[in-house]
Amino acid sequence: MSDPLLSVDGIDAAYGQSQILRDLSLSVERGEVVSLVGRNGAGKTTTLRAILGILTPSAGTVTFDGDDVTHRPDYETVARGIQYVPEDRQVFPDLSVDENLRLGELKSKGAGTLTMEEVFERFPRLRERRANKGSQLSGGEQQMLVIARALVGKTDLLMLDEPTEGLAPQIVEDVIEIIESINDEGVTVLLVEQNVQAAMSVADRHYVINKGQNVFEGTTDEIRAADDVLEEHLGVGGESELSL
Amino acid sequence: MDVNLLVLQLLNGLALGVLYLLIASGLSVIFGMTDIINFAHGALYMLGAYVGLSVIDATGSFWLALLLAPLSIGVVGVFLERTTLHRIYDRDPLYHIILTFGLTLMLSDAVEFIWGKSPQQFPGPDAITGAVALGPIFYPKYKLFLIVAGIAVAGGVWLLFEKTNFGLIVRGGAQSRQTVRIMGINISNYFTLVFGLAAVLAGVAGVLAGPFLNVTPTMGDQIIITAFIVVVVGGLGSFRGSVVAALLIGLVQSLGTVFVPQLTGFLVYLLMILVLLVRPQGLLGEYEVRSDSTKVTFSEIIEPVSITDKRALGLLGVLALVPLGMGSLYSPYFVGLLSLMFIWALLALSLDMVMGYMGLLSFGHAAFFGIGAYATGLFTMHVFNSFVAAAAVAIVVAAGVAWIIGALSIRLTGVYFAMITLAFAQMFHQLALTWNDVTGGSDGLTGMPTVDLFGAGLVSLGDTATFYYFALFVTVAAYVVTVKLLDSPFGRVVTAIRESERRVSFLGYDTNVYKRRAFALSGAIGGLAGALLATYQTFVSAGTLHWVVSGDVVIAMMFGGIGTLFGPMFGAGLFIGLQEILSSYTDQWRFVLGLLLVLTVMVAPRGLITVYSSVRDAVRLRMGSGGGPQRDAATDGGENR
Repeated sequence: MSDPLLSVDGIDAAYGQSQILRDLSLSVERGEVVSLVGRNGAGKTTTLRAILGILTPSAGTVTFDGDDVTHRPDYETVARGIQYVPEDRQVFPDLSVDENLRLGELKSKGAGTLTMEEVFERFPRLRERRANKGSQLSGGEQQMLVIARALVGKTDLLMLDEPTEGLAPQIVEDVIEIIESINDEGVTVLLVEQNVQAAMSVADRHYVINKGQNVFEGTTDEIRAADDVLEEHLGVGGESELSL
Repeated sequence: MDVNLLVLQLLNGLALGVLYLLIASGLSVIFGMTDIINFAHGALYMLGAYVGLSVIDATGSFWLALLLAPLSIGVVGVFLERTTLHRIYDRDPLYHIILTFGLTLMLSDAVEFIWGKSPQQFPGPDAITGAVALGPIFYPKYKLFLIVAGIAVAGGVWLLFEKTNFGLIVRGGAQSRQTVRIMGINISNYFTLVFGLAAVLAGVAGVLAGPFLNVTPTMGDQIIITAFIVVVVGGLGSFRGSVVAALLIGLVQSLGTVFVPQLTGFLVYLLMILVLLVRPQGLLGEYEVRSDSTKVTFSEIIEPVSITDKRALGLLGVLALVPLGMGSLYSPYFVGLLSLMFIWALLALSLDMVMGYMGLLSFGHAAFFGIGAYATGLFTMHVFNSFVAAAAVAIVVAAGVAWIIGALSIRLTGVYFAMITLAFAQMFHQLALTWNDVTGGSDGLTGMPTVDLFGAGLVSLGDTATFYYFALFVTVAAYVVTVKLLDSPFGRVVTAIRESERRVSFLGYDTNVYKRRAFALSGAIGGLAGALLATYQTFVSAGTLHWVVSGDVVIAMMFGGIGTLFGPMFGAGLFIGLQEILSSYTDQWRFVLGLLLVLTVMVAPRGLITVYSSVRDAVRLRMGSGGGPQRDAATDGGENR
């Protein structure tokens, strides 16, 4: 069996004096969709930031594609093939759709997962809006743009932070479909979700994080079976949000 | 009105406007990327002119100068950015501005040292001499060339930003640095490149200006202030705004000399005031006024020392004894020097109150100092020779001016405030120089009497020891009052505004009212310091109002320890002492002070106070008294806020 694409081994991370992650480990195999679930403030976003190097872990290692990237700056790790779509989406409000995509493509030097043309085929809406500024797009369009912007770069691993947050239910379904189709084409996905339902519908495996620690790991079936985990660490009982 | 003259002045205005455009666009680009206003930009422009001059001296070619000088200024810019700013981007904007202020002092003095103070001729290109006939008028070919070249360079810059990948990254970085990083781009390299590019533009402007304006070490001072006004009028961060405002101001200046010659030198300030009243965000500005751009955070809150503290009382005791040794142990000159330190301590106290406690970046405190001094001088000369009455007038006038400046500009916090206060102070400097009949112009205000304390002839402040005790008393009293004031509910709001203006306004306080009041109070103390200065010197120089004086107070404050009230007062003493010692060795003493300022910002941002406390902790730790660890715990708590 080959090494995992991403492996995180016992990392600690802190913002200033406040420790966020404690001895957290996870791994993602090539071709998988893996989700990180947990309550607000559990450390999910921090985990993604630590993987990328926006925040440097104070202990432990992050290995990507066989290379230790723990202490590499974020922009280098991105160039190696981890694309990150942050929670607040972060389109450039004063750049056009076209320019947003060009910035995403800039460092891939032809090694992008999709070309601009392929992006426009897949997201025809973006083609229509290509001359519009980022700030003129709707929330769903912005989410498509940032995912597309990640895909024109070199994307071996796509890390998405709450891609469905604040979107209308119909758009949430669209986004889930997009993630599935990207995955079908061989892009590995690591997903942070508050929406446990959405996470379960798209991911193969899940890590439950609480207070910066890994408290449960398993497949969708396993996590469904583990009522106590759901109750204790996600605040959702068997009969509540899961049955939505 | 002569049409020919009008055309002539229109062209002159365009030529000026193009220079302003080159400077202001560089400022804007740096600001857009890093949120930093580079005070040193005028100095880079001036350096560009001098380097160009040397290239011409060496090679005889203007064209080579136009190529090499901007490139060298670009290298200087990159070097300065990498060695200083680049290391402290994560700090509050306050430190960035102060740092570039220090760089300005260093560059100005370095140029004076290398090329001398006197104005120099800058030969234009041989191919473009003489005049060209435009209908009935003759116009110098060089100025036409300047207009075309300047517009071409500005156009090139615009294309660079709109059409290239470099421009794309810079525009993206101006919107969100972190997002550009997660595109795999090392954005911090682009900070350096942008700084270098802006420096190149300043260099181009310097060389182009050479044959048109005088080349002097002070040529950067006026243009940087005009460029600030351009940026304020046009709207910060708007390239189109800079273009419009630069050309507008160039035209206003050149047409103004014809239509309203008596207002020459003031029109741009009036234009700025008008824009601030009508459209504070600038003509084309979209820059939303970030209410939290005032935010200044300290890793450690240092409370002002109580006057009843043993160390403070000890120091006062020693100071009280000083005049006794006059004549035997040291000369009256030394006692006078200490008096001057008290005056500057008062001024530094006034600045720290708004900058350290409120986060208002005032770079125009010379205005209050100078206004207080002139008011006192004029009052004692023409009305009544009484310090008490004159100082009251000085305080009221200075506070009033501060209140007005505050009312005009306090909505625009952060770097805007820094630029506007500097511009206002320069306006008063200009006024003092121009209003000859009243102020004595560049000769200064002479003929002041020896000031009497009450006006009854009982206590003459001309006596060195008497003045010494009086200045000490006033300074200590002002300190005690300020400490009390900042400890009051009013003071708590003031301090909270520094921490987060937004949260304070969420609590229902009108923060602008508090800022205006605090600024007026600070102006009052500054005016009092000015009153003492005039009394001490029995003379007022227009130089008191010069921006360099505002810079000196900032240096004093930083040396001592910003945001501590007593620290800046010590810093002022140190500043005066250093000035005294350094100036006896070299004319370029401000270079040394500028360097010390830069080092302070980089290495000891809380000044000598932190040096003092770390030394004390080290000593205590070694002696095993346990005082050190306790203090450390308190410090950690402070950082946890």
